[in-house]
Amino acid sequence: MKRIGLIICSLLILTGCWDKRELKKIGIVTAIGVDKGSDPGDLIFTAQVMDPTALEEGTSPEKASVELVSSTGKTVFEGLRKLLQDFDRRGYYAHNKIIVVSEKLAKEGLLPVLDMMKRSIEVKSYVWLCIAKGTEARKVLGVKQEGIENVQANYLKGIVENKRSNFNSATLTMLEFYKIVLGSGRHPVVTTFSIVKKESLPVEEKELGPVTDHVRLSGGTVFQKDKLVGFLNEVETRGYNWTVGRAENGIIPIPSVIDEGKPASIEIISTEAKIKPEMKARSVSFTIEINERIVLVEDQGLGEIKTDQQWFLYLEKVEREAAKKTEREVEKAVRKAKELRTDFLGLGSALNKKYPKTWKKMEDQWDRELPDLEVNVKANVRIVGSGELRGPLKAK
Amino acid sequence: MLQERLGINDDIVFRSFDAQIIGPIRAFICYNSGLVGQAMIHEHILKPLMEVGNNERRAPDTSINQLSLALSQILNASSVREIRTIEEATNEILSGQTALFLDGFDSALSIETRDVEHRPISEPATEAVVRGPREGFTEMIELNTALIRRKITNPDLVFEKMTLGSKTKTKIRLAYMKGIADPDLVAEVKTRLSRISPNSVLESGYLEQLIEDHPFTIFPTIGNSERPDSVAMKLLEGKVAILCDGTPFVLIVPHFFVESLHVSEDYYMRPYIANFVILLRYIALLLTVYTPALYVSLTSYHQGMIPTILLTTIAATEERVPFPVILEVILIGVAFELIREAGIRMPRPIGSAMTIVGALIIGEAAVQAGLVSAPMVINMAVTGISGILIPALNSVVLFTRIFLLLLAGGLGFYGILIGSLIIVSHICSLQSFGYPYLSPIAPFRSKGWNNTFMRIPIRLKKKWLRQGR
Amino acid sequence: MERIQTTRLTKTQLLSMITLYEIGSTTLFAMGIGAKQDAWVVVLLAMLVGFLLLWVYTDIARRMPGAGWEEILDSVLGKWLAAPLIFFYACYFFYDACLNFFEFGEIIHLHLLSNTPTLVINSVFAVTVMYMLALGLAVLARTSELLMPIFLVFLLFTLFFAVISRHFEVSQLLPVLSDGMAPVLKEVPTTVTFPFGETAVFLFYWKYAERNQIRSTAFRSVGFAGLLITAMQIVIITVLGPGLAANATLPLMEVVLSINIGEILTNLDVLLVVMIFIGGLFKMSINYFAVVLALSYLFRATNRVVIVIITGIGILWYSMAHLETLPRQRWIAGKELIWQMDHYIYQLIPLLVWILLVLNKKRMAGREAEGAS
Repeated sequence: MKRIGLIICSLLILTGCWDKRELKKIGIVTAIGVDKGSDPGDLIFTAQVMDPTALEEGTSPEKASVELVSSTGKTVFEGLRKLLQDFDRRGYYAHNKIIVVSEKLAKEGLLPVLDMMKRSIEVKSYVWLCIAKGTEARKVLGVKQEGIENVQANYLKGIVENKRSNFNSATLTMLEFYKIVLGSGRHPVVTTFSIVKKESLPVEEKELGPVTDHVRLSGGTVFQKDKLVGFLNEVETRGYNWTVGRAENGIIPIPSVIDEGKPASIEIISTEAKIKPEMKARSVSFTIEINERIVLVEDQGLGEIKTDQQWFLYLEKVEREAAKKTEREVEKAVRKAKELRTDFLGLGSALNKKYPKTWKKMEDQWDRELPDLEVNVKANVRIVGSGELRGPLKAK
Repeated sequence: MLQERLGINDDIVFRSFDAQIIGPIRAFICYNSGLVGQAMIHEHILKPLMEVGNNERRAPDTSINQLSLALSQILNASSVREIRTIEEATNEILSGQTALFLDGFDSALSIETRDVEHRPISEPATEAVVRGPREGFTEMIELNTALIRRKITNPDLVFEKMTLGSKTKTKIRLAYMKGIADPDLVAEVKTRLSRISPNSVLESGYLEQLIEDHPFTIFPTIGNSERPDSVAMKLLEGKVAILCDGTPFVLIVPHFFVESLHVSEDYYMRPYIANFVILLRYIALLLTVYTPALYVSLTSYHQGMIPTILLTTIAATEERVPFPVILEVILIGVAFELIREAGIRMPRPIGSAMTIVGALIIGEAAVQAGLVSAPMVINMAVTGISGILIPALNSVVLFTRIFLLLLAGGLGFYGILIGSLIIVSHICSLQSFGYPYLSPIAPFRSKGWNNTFMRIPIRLKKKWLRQGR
Repeated sequence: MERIQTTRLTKTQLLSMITLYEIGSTTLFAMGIGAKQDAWVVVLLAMLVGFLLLWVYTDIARRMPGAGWEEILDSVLGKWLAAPLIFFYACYFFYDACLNFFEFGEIIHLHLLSNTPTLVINSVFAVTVMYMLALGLAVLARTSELLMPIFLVFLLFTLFFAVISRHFEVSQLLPVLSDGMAPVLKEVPTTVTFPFGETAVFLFYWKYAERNQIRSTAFRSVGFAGLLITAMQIVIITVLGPGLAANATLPLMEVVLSINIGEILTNLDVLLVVMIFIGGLFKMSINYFAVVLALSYLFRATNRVVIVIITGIGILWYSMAHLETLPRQRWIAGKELIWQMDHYIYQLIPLLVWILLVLNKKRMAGREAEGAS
């Protein structure tokens, strides 16, 4: 019996290995960009391919670590295959980190664009989905990275993941996008990249000149189902992050409570958000309740705290300031949702979870009725400490 | 007549003399000069028989026919036996006894005078331990039985004698604990041994290959050991040991797969470290069998499963190597086996130098020259070192590794799964003397676990003699 | 050390065989996803119904100890009715095995080796399974015993990683039973037939197990498997959401691919492939061996190896020649009336036989009572 096995093996070896992909024959794609082509219905597909030889020890740092290749086609897959006409290695997409779609294309709907990526076994669901705001996806992938990472896509991924400690921007993976779009009562807010000009200092020694393009992660892009309808600014994005419980570890700038006019900042330890729908006689109202635990990390104001009581009152004031700030931010996001008539905060899905029957009735005209809904915001803040200092210090 | 059969041999000595029994009787002794103690013959045979007047007093009334009885009173050797045929006499002489022939009698006497030069008891080379007895079996079967007997001072320990090999007439001893060993098992071993009729038995390996259940499997279904303590331990578990003259390797049946991963030292160490080491051996088994196949399937089929940073590194080194990965693995694997075999066969002092040259210099140079990639060398080193941890499964590991490697080269991960399944169902089908080879794992018995994956503290298994069965 | 009779199944072997058979190919589907986020309720309900069937199946074993299903049919229904029935049973499990085999080959083809011809993938697998089964029932049982822990560890690891990944949202399970019980009840019958009712195959195997262990072992393993399947559905829904779960060809694969814990625990599709492999293997082999048992009884064959090889080639041939593509197969298996009826018939015949057995006993008892008075 063993012999039969050996015969099969040798047959396999001899007849060739259909699926073998030698490492030397593939190009590892680290980022994908999709743009709208010049002809109607055309897509420009861009792949950022890693060049491993540039990462080998002893190669000159001048050599670029990635290559950008683009091609045009009616479908994503066509573009992907056409890539092979002007690139020597077959693309391998399992290590793709990020998908960037241009604003223009997103306005026409994302699902058709993403279809191929979701079908493919190579492109994983956890890749970050991003929108290039006011620019082309290709350009975002083409910006020279500024950070430490030597592969540009890893750099982009790095800034997206930094969001954990800075919730000015929304982030979304492809899987989350699908989950929200296919579910009911909520619309997605997608990661947004824009390109900004930035001055380089001499120590950075960039050859590109004193002013260079940089990628910035900011705000969020609101989708009505899978079509782009608008952008959130940073404050609105913060409000959105509060509501969906994604303000994990960010900071809240508040005015100093001890020294008027000076700033202070607090750091969030944990947040928890609840949307509570309430049924009234004819309409529905919502309360967005946010519970946060914070710690004071900085107070630029000058002052003195002498007793424990003063300390307690001081912190209590900070709590109140933080709550006020949070509420204001969430309210801004609510206003934006009403303005865009797009329920990206998930009010509908909260209603569905509590009163599925009512939701069934309202589902169809939900977004139209949105502006008339009553939404209250309530933030409960608990401050758990003020760092190594009780209060601010003052020079005597 | 005896002279006819043995006379041409230079090492057979005939010595005739007059024995003083009642009166002088013409007698001669015959022995093999290399196998007997000369002093013993002189002291125990010649002296008592030839001293005049010594014997009349002792056996005055004995009838002349009762030879053995008479002589047993005169000869002061440790064992005396009567022999009746020339054939028997020849065998006795060749195995080191002295034959005594007296004029006028139709039988002769075989007197124990054996004193063979042998290797002293020394530390076994194959199963070295840090803690545990330092003695190993020798080539002398009598000494080996003594070594076992010293461990188990119990009349229940039975040694049964057999002779095998129509040409070599090798002495075989069957050892088992009466009352612990399954009588069916003992009977089975006996039938198997009696059924075979080899020409020669020079080493226990001859027997092993003749009595094993599955002659064509790569898995060893009969165990062997050079250590009296581990043989004693197995005997107490109810197994049967087959000792064979002329070799320090004792066969133990039945043999289970998991035993190949154990050493007797596991029971001498404290349980924490012992369990850790056992676990380490299981990991080593998996590593040494699967590493090359996994490396091939990951780097040439499923690159997605390698973390990106690692893949970048591998891709960067692989970029300079001209061969496909599978060929690379095969090349370096063959090189490794060459170096290993050379290291074993070389005279000791050169052997170690050889390994260093092989491992360090050739590996380094090959990477520098761009013939193989550095991760590949690491991969092969892991494979090799893990393999050294489990010497008992040497051949198994080598063949399963190649088998899986070829399948992985052709079908990637799917090939590895298929290969593993074939190997697993093959092991599951094996038996060792009627016992399932994979015994405590499949068929599963929780009782057997203290010998499989864990070593329970001895204190906790008070009845371990009985439980071990 | 003990000598173990090779023709008997130990308790652990029976346990692992039933568990693996039950979970088997459920790793490929989102069970009862027609009920959206309440799919797990469907599985639980189906398990309860499955228990009823299982009670009947094991009761048959209790009433006719030491007899295989083929012998029971023979003695209860008589030779002329039993022979075609046994043959149809063989066909049913043959078809079932073909389906498993086909699905397995397609999954490997689509997800692991997309350029390798299906013929190669399938024939390699077929030869391997034939080899395993040719070695006998004992080897099948021992292999299952050996591979079940690996299967379970992988499954639990997958579920655990999915739960601690960022995509896990319990709120996806809400609202519970938003449309009442109707959609749930609608899904229950299909979920009963697959996988719970399929335990009927073990009617062929009971005679190899210890009589007094059958019922407890069977219930324990089906319950255990049912809970694991439920857990799987919950994880699928919480990670993917009901919408995507219903639309994914391999929902569990989507779940596994979404796991990314610290850039290290990612791309765990290996785990899933191993699970699909082990699950599919045993599902198919147990069906396959039931065919072999039925056929060798029918043809009074003494050499089982020949039957194994013939059936194996049959399975390979049938699934290559008659089953076309995965979507078509899913559609037929799920929707076609005849196939559905088949399921019911084959899983309900034991019920009929059981009733006959009970009646027989009553009659016997009655007659005895008459005789006594």
